[in-house]
Amino acid sequence: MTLHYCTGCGQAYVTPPASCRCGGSEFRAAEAAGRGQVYSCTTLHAAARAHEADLPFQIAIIELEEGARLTARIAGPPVAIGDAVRLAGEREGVHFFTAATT
Amino acid sequence: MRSVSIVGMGKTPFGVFPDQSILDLAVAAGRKCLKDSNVAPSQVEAFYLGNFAGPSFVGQNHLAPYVAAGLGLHEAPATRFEAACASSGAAFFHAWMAIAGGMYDLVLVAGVEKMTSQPLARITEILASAGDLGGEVKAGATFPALFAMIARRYMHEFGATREHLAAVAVKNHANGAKNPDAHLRKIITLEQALAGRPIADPLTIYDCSLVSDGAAAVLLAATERAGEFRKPIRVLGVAQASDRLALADKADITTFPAVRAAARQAYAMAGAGPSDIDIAELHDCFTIAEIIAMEDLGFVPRGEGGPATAAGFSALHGEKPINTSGGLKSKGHPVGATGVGQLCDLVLQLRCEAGERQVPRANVGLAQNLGGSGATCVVTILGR
Repeated sequence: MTLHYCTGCGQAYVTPPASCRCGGSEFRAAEAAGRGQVYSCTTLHAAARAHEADLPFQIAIIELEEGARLTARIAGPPVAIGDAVRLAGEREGVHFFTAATT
Repeated sequence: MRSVSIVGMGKTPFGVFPDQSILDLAVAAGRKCLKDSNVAPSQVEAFYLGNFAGPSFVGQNHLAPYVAAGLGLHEAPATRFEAACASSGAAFFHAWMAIAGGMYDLVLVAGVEKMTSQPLARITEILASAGDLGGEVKAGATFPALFAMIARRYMHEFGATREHLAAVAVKNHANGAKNPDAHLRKIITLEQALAGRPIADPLTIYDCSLVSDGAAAVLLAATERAGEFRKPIRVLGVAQASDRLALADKADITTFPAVRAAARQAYAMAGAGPSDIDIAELHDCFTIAEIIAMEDLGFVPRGEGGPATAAGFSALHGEKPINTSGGLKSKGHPVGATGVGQLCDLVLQLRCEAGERQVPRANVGLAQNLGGSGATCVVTILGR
């Protein structure tokens, strides 16, 4: 997956923001390993219309090895906080991660 | 900067009202407020309306002059404020500024939301639009899911339990059962709360606030004119603060920096601290939100909001009663009306007009109104 690094402070982002926390607005793109760990997660039993057909499904805030965080879908068995995960794919702008041991 | 007082209040019951339009609700609350303050519509110099998603829920836009005309305010400037669930808190903050800054003497602030005419999946989608659409919402997050991730992380870091979350729901339902204007006047047990239908784990239906219709209004006046009114309540401090929308963009999701910033400024303006607050209306959109708010406002140390709630600290006759109205959990959460609704409930307590839920010592009250997953917060401190 591609990450975007602030040229001012080096902070990594999955989607480059309009402004970095340091105030910078220039970003350099680089490929990333797509590995990280679960910062938090939940399994949904109710969803908005666009996602209702997928219920129940798990989403998680993933902290990547490079320090960037993103909210992603979990594919495969459920994960818990602290679990190692890896990128399994991307569909329509949504990243899917899976437990790194599977 | 001039001192400002709340000199009148009015609200509709919160609930499901298929026969009442967004205009009916807002006008009913506004009229009650003007009647309570004995003020004619022609005396109101400006109108500030908090509304989150009228255009999405009912299709009507240009809402502020629409409601102002319904109230007979005619030419007074009328402006709508949108800040997710803090919409009417933000309207109140800006109305306060207009009087404090000397522009007006008499300003009406209202909040309204008409939610229940849409199916639940559409309501969920409209509410989710207050999150980061390009990131978390695209991945499937709903508001319950965002607060579920906050709860999951909080439980991981502080050892909080499902019982701690459920204790908030049990307390707020017990209070709401005493409030004739509450949406769900139903006492629940800890066992019921724990066994609720799962929504987004670890949150069940009993951890979530209600989808409601309703409106609330307060009339603000320069305190130098407050002698003209019955039982004026002083605005001792008020502040609004902001943060990023997406949870993934926050360093720590177990605390809300915007709540801390708004509280710091409001306490400084009031010359008060957490120990001076007798009662509080906190933004319990989800049970975990009340626990974190207790900590961010300095009522209890970090990690102790859950055990303190379970021990009765925030109960109706506890050390610091929180959400004596029933909160968003039981009173209801018509999103755009919630901020001003909280102020109405504080005013009732400070006037000693809160009926069965009146607390004996209510001299200083605090309201905390949170927008979205914490990107807006308004903290208001009132005193009699």
